[in-house]
Amino acid sequence: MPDLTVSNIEKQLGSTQVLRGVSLELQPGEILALLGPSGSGKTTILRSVAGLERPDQGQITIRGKVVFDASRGFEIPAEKRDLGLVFQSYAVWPHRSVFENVAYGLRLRRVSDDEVRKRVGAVLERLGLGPFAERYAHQLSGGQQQRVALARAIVYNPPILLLDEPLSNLDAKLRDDARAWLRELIKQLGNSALYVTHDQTEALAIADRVLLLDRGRIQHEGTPEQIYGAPNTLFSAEFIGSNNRFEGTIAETSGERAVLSGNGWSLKGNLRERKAVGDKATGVARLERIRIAPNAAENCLSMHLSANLYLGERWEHLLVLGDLRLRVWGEKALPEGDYSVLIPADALWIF
Amino acid sequence: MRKLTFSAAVLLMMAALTGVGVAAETAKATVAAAQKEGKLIIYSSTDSASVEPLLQDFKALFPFLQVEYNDLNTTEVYNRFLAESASGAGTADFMWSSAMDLQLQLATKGNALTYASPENSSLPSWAIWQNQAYGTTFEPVSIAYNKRLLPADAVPQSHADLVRLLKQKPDVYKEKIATFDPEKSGVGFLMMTQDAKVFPEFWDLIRGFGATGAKVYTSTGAMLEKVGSGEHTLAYNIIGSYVLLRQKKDPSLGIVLPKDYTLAFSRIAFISKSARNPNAAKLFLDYILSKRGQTVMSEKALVYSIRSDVPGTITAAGLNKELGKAVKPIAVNTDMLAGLEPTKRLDFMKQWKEALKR
Amino acid sequence: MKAPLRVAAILAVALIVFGPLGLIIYQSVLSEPFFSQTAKFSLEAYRFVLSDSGFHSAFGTSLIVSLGMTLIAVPLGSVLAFLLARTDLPGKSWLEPWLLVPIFLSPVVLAFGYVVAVGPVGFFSLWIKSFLGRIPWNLYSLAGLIVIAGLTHVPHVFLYVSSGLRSLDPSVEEAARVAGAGVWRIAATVSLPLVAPSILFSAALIFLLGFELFGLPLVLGDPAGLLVLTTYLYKLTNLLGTPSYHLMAVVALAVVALTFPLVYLQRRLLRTAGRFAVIGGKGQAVRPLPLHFMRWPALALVVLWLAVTVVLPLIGVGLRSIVSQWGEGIRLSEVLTLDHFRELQGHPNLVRGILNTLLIGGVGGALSVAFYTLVALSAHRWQSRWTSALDYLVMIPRALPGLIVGLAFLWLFLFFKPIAPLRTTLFSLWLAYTVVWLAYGLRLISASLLQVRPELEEAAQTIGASPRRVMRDVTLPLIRFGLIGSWLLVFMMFVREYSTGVYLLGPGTEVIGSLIVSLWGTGALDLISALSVIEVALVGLILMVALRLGVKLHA
Repeated sequence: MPDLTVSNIEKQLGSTQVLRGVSLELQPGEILALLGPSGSGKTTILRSVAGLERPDQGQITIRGKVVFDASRGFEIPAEKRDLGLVFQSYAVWPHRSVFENVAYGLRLRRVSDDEVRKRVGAVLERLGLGPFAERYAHQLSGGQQQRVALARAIVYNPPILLLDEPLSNLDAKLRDDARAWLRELIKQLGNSALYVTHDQTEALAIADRVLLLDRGRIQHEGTPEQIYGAPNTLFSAEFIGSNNRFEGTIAETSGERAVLSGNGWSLKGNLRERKAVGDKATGVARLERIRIAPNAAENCLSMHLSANLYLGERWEHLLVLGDLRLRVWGEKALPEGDYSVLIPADALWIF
Repeated sequence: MRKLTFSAAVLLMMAALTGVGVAAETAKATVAAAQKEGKLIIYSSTDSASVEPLLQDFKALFPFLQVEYNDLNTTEVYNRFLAESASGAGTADFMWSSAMDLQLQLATKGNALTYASPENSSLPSWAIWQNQAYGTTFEPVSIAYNKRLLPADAVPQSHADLVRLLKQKPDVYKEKIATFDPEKSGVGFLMMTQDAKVFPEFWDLIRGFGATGAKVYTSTGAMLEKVGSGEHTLAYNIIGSYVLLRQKKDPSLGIVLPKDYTLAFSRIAFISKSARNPNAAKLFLDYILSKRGQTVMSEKALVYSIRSDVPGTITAAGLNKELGKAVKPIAVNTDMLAGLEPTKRLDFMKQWKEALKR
Repeated sequence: MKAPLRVAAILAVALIVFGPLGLIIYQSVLSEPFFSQTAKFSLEAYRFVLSDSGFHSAFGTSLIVSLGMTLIAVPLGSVLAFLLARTDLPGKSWLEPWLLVPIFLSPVVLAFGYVVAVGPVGFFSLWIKSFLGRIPWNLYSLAGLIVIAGLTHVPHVFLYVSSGLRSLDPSVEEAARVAGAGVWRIAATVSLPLVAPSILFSAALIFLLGFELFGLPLVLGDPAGLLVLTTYLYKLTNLLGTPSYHLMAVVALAVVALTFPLVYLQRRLLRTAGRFAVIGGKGQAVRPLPLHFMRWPALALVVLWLAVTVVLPLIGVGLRSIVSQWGEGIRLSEVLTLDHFRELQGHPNLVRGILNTLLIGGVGGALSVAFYTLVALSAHRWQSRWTSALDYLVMIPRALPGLIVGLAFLWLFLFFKPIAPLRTTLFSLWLAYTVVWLAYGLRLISASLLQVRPELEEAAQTIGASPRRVMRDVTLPLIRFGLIGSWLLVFMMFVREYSTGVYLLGPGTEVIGSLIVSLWGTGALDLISALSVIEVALVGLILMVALRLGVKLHA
């Protein structure tokens, strides 16, 4: 039985339709990422599950128990849903110590003082917050506050953990470390988790399954590999990874293949959407799949080197052909001139 | 013959003693009842500074009474009493104000308790109205001036003097005269209307005030303050008792009791018919009419007393001696109510405003 | 917080707001005071007042005064705000609290101070007279009233405009600087136009306050025969020789008819005032605009305003309290005395007044803040028609001058027998004060509540706390400091209050402010000055405590 079932929720805020009918299922022990740009509705879904927002339509069920049903006007208030929620801003109470912050949930559930001390102590230890138990929010760094928020949410073992962009307020360096131990921790705890983020690398790294959202609708659903390697729409293709874009028209089609041609170039690629010859189309290719290949045959373009950018772990070359501008990765700087750029047909998705 | 006279004398004496005994008995009953009441609420226009010695002496006599003394201006005394009694809220037990006409009006409307004070016999008959309203003082309406700043030849000795001086030396008095505003002040209205009755050149006087830019106020205190500081140099129709009291603190204040005529008014007191503490009120009325009270009034509060047996100059007798025929008392009767009639009042005010150019 | 309790709190507000207003409307359509047996329905009162030339001239005077003081206060206040919020004016940090002092001083005290300082025989006037041979101004005139009213209302403009300026993104000014604009050009073309909503808002506010002036025109206008609507109302008390409550009710409604649209306009402007605010950025230290050689003249301007508006009247009050006589021809050194203060002890009603003021300010203030908190919490995080109703409800007492609210409560307690015994207790006064300062108090508490980020409450909710527990465990503890600050501010406002208590004055309800008004009528200036010094000392004390605690004086 799925831990969480969301059926067809819709929500309008003011004059904007924020959610246009979203459904999802969260299996026990699974980490599901809600990924999308701002305004896609991902946070609204999370808050609806938590009970902090009230959808206009739809149904939400947690472990088989209906907690919200718009058609019946039925709603279980947030404080009775027994979930754990980690806020983007951490929301650590400034007037309570770290210990008291974490202990709050247990105290509400009338756990004995001894038990509280044991369990809070254990959770703090686990998250490396042992020495900070008596500190207050203003004495903690961003990363420490984030862990306090996490500790507070897991100490009473809620069945589902809800995380609202928990890493976005951290500095870029800390984020990379944090996403590793966060996934590790959640897997160790064994809870299922709903994870909201706008950072696609984070989503791909942390989640077991990813839901890509755009303007209130689910664009693509699948495992991280599926999302990355087999996008179903132009939006999905462009939102994930670093891409090059090819604007052109369909020259020919044959089954799953097609030829996209533009101003002075023509390339074979995978047709991902129904198109007819003569239709306008856009091709997308991941940066890492394109390279400078002097002796290639098919799908090669002769392009002029416009600029070299040094990124530290690699070089990025900017190559131009007519109105086509491509970014290609390389090992070293290249001198001025024309180069042959290979775009493997498998790597080009045409929408 | 002698036997008859002797018996008659004995009989008379016994009657007198019984009378006195009766009086003593009723007095004791009043005191006992007042003790039960324990409280006395007074609405009065007599300045707190002046009334202080009286209140203290009264407290010495009847320490069990808690006196709540409300110092209000004459119109406030009248309005609050009316509003509170009409709406059945608690109001004053004892009403004491220098706006004789307003007090008398309240009495004629049935608000006063009929009570024959044992001190009745020591008061002039014109000071008592139907044993309901009592005149308690005999105070001159005077002129106050600033000795420092007003030259001696500009100090008027009579009303006619003032009219003449205003015409002859308007510059000396420019914006330097203060007087009561009859529109806002009850006692001010009384004084002006009585002036108009007695003084043929009254409207000339007011026009003189208008020509020199005189300013009007609602209280003696405000005017005395400004005369003392020099903002004004002369104040017309000032309650003489207050000037005397103020002179103790401010030696630059001078007082004139006009020689052609000086109005003398009596603060009227009455006990409210619906008083919650009527006996305490009776005790207070008796006190301020008694020789002891009137002496304190005259000697300590510097308020002119009305009883004839009070020693000193700040008394009715003293005033009469100093001014003789010039004293014009305002009698405690319904004659003065005519001026309160709304159309007459509005007429007077209209004429006043025109003359004063306001 | 459960819905029924929220609704109950809002209904309580409706009761104490509509009660007095309803009574005023009822009284205005009666032919006589409501307690009179022969009172019947009639529009005679309207006819009388609206055709009375005195009313017309009072109306006209009020209009001119409001306009005049707005024209003085708004430009001056805006310039001062710019100087203190945006430039490197020397001494900024300690100047600012002093700029706000007039807000906390009772207008009667200030007016009285002006009389003693710059009146016809004021000590400053006489000093000038000794040089010039005459006094070049007349305090008791329309111009005098307008100038003093304008100067004393500069702080209100200052508050709003400076908080508007502070919420601007400093880069807009820095961009102008880099392009070559000097400080005054930046002020005129960038900063002040961007806070135009705040400036407009404060202009509407000052215009509104002009109609509610009572103490200043009472002291300064009366001698010149100038009446404004409030003092005209006050005079009506005694017009026909009988209480003319029905006439007073009409005048009260006339004032409300003028002020209510202004309050409404004000609220609309408040909404747009936040439009240009660009709060955020990295929070880097803001480098103020340099004034160069204008530093000292600018400082001189500020100090001059301070001297005329604060120092002068306070010295007047202080001096008067320690001299036995004053005026032309007096040598001050010869008449110094502390007698006035000693004399206070001999007046039990004055001593009671001082104690009552402390009581109503401290205890009453705390109770009022508790009530305001209850009401604010009712509207907190609740989308409902009730909360918008509350917004409109609160506008009504805002439109009523204190004098009229006090009068209405007097009538209320006279009219309804069951609560009549409370009239002579401090309760009636406290209730009137709570209504008068309702909008102010709610704004203070709401400001504190706004500081509580919703996530802090939602976090508790998701963990399992019921709404009541959330309020108890999260909301209230977090606004604790704000509540204390609000209590101190309300304390000061209650101590400074004077007009609301005028009609409710009696043994048991004396407070310093209304006693001063009443004593003013009797001319007991020595007592008034002693009382004023005590009031200023009290307010000063509380102000210092508040500043020490870091309470923000902006509301």
